[in-house]
Order: sequence, then structure tokens, then C-alpha cells
Amino acid sequence: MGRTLTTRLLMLPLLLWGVVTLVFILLRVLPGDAATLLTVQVQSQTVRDQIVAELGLDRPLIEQYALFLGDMLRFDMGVSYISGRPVTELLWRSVPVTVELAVMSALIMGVLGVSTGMLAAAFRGRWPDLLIRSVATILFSVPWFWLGILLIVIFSVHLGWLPSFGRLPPQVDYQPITNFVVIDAILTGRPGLIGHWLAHILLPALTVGLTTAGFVTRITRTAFLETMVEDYVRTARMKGMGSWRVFWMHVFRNAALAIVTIFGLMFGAMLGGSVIAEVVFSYPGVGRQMIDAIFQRDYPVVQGGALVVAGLYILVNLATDLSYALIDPRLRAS
Amino acid sequence: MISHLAARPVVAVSWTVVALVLLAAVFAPVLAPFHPIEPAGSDRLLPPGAPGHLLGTDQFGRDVLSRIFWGARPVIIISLAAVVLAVGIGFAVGLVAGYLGGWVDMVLMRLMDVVLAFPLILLAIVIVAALGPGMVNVIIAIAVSQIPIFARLVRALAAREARKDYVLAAQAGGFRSLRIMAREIAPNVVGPVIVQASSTVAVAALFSAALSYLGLGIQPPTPDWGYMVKEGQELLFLSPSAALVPGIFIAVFVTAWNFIGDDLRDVLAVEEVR
Repeated sequence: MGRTLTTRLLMLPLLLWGVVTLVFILLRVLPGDAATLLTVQVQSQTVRDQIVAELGLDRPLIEQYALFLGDMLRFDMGVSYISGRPVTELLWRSVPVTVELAVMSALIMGVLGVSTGMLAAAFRGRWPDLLIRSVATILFSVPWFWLGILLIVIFSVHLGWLPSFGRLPPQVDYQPITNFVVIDAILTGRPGLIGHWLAHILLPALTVGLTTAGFVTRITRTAFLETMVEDYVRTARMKGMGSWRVFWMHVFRNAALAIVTIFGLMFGAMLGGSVIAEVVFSYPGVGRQMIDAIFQRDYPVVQGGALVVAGLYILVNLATDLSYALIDPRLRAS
Repeated sequence: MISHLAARPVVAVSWTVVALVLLAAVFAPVLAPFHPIEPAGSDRLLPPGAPGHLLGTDQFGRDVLSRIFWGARPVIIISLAAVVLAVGIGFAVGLVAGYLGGWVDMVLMRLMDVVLAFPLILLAIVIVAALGPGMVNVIIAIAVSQIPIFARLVRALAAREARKDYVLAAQAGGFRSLRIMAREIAPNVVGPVIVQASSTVAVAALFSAALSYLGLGIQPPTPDWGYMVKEGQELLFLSPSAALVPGIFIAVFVTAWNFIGDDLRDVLAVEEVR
């Protein structure tokens, strides 16, 4: 386990500070001169000077850094150069979309990965095991974006079953409240929204879920194989405990630890995969917003997106650490 | 060696795939039947199997097979160079942190934690966004995103080795730390690093393709498998093969490296290190 929960919690502010600093270095310090990049569209020199002064880009780097840290503490992420709107407002619209996609992908990944992993462990060394392992390796070798396109070709172009882009049909009138479609549909009493939403999210979520499920299959398989040979499992069997009881009480709970660990780690791949899937499916999440912003040289939006995604990832990993304590009583003491 | 490969046909096929891609990259000018950038004729969007064009033509009438041959170059160069760079830096960081321990270890590993706080592909995207597109920047971006993986691995191994008798003996013998790290510890931790490196080639190839697909990597008209998928996607309803064919090449190349990585793990009997 290495570090305990308490140390991790204490490290959190340090980690967040590191993340903010890394983003500052990447987008402000590296060559590529933020001042010229940020204001590249602005033709007039006076306007450009004004923007540069407003951003503090004419000041020494260390002073810029101090200003940046101050802004971050106040959750002020600046203003988009293209739309003129505060970055926090833009993120408020796009982040829930990505969270929905990541959660849906995680569901697909979890169900597929854990079930096939358990199946492979049960058939260890025989053909179902070999088949599952080979398919798992192929699945995590397929480029995310290519799998997305393949799904579009099959389900949108050929079969015409599912839409190939967007989050909801354009003709549907959707006024976000929380911007989580399922919650809003319940709040406003419009269950019809959920159907549209599911039809749109299915292909992107499958894209991310399938490409990440292979890792979960592997980890699950190994975790079960390792647990099944433990002494306490043998003891339980010798006591005459029924095989189902042994499985749930001893094997499953212990194997679950390893699987939860991989879920935390895979959430990064989930978010990363979502970025790509959002571009393939023109899905209006934070990933697509960032890629668009990169091409428009809208750096405050790139910066805000990177920080929010990293923040989400850190939170999920923290939640993973907390869930260890729930699964494993030995860790509760720390 | 031969008997090992004969017993594992999948691994033999995987090495063959890697060798073929390497050959395609090196001999692209000889192998490619047409120019990779100039249109081969007036026939656009020919399907695979069309006479004279085994894999068809794209929307500009360029021969897809020729672009696949030339497109093997960036994928080979980027994936191998990024891994070499990541292994080099990650190895050094991990070795120093694991052997010296204390505050050096603390600082280096917290630094790696910061890098790992980002989803790796996102970090690579932000780095190329900052540096600009192009092959060298893509290599740097991918390498940086993979450094912590090697640093953590080597640190865990080196810290374990550092407590062993032969290292204590070397320390008692009065050798300098640098010599102990390079001559004593490094050779003993290299096995797992090779295994990790082979799987990382797969990841690097995927990242490179993804960056190109997003338009942030290799810039057109230079042929690149990832970008070819992007160009093909615009015509998905007209000719799905234009987007699907180059992607198959990426998938096969990456799958081959993953099978090779698995096999090396078995052969070198590497246990999981957390």
C-alpha cells in the first residue's frame, strides 16, 4: 500500500499546487510566447498591449506566477478570448457532459471487464481463458478514435440505429439546470430526455468502455487467481464452507481490493479516452472544448480545462483510497 | 529462441509484424508504387482492391497503400524515440530516488505524482499545444507523459536492491554512489524495465496516432496513419474504408507490441512491482 490515507490527505494541497504550477509552466513559461499566442487574433497594437497588460503578461514571470496562484485560489480562471465569457462558466457547461460520459464508460468497462476477468479465471488455461485474454489485448491495442469511427460505420452508417454526433438531438429543447441530463429530466419531469440522451451517449461510452475494459479483465483475472490459492481460502474450504460462501466472503472481497485500485487508475484513461471520443462524436464535453480552444489559441480555456480534468482525476483517486478503508478493515486504523 | 517462437505462434507473428512495419518504414521510397503526396491519377475514393491500387485511393486521388508505407515512418520513429527518451530519464530519476532515498526520493517522487495527476494523453495534448505540432515536439510530449511510469518502477526495484548484501558490500568497499548505482544496481533492475518499455512502445504508438488524429501531431500532407483516419472520417458516409484501413494498421502494430510485452514478461519472469 506504501502510503496511508492520512499522508495522502496531507499531500493533497501540495499535489494541487504542483498541478497548478505545471500548467503554468506548460502554458506560460515554455517557448511559444503566451503573449503573442494569446493575442494572435488581435490586430491592433494598442488593443494587444491592453490585453497583455490586463493579463499581467508584461510583468516578470515570478510576479505572473504569484498572480496566477492568487487567481487559482479564488477559482478565477480568466475569460475566454473567443467568446469573452468567464472560463468557469464555460467549464460549468462542459464538465458535467464529460463526467456523464466517463461514468457511463466506467459502467461499461466495469461490467465487461470484471465479468470477463472472472470468467477467464474460472476457465484458467482453457480456451475461454485464452480467447478472453486475446480479445482483451486486442481491445486495448485499438486506437480509441478508430474504434469510435468503426462503431459509427456499423451503428449509424449501416444500421442507422444510433446517432453519430452530439449529446441530444438539436430539435430537443433542453434548458440545463444541473446540466446532468438524467437529474434534469427527473427535476423537470421529462423522462423522454433520458432516451435521447442514452441514444447519443451509447456509442462514445462504448468506445471508451471497450478500449479500457481489457485492462480490467486482466487485473480481475489475476486478482481472482491469486486470491483463490490463499491459505484462508483453503482453510474456509476445509471448514466445510459452501463454495458460494467461500467465493463471496473470502475470494470476492479480497479480489475487490485490487479491482478498486485499478478503477481509480483507469479513471484517468476514462477521462483521456473521453477527450478523444468527444472529438470523434462531436460530443460537447470539456475535451472537445479544450481541443477547439487549442486551435483557436484560446489559452485560458485550455488552462482551465487541464486544471479541472486533473482536479477530477485527483478527487476520484482520493475516493478510491477512501473506499479501500470500506472494503478492507485492516486499513481503517490508518 | 526458435523453439520458443515455434511454441508461441502469436509472438512469432507479432515480431514479424514489427519487422514488416520497420521494413516498410525504411524502404518506403522503393516499396511505394506511387508518390505519397501527389495524386496518383484522377480516380478518387477508389475502394480497396481497385486495379492498380491495392488499398484504393483517398479523396485527393492519392494511393492509400503508398501512404501507408510512408506513414510507417512517423509511427516507428515517434514510438521508439519517445520510449528511449522516457526510459532514459525515468531510469535515472528512479535509480537516484530509490538508491539515495530520503529527501531526494521525496522530492523526485512528488514531482512524478504531479505529472501522474493528469490523464497521460491529456498531458501530452497540453504539451504539444504549448510547444506546437511537429515530430520532435510529439516525441517530447509522449516521453514526458511516460517518464513517471519508469521512474516509479525503477525506484521500487532500486530501493529493494539497495538493501541487498552485494550493495552493502560495495558501500563498505568505499565505492562512490554513482558507481554503485550504475554498475551494481542498474544491471539488476533492467529486466522489468525492458518489459515495461515494450508495452510502452504500444502506448506511444497509440498516443502518436491520437495526437495526429486530433490535428496536433504530424502535419499534413506528410503521410501519417492517425491523420489518415481523420481525413477519412470526413467522408465516412461516402467511403468508410478511407478511415478504417489506416486504423487497422495502427491496431495491428500496437497489438503486436502488446503481445511482445506479455511474452517478455513471461520469459524474463517479471513479477508485478507496485
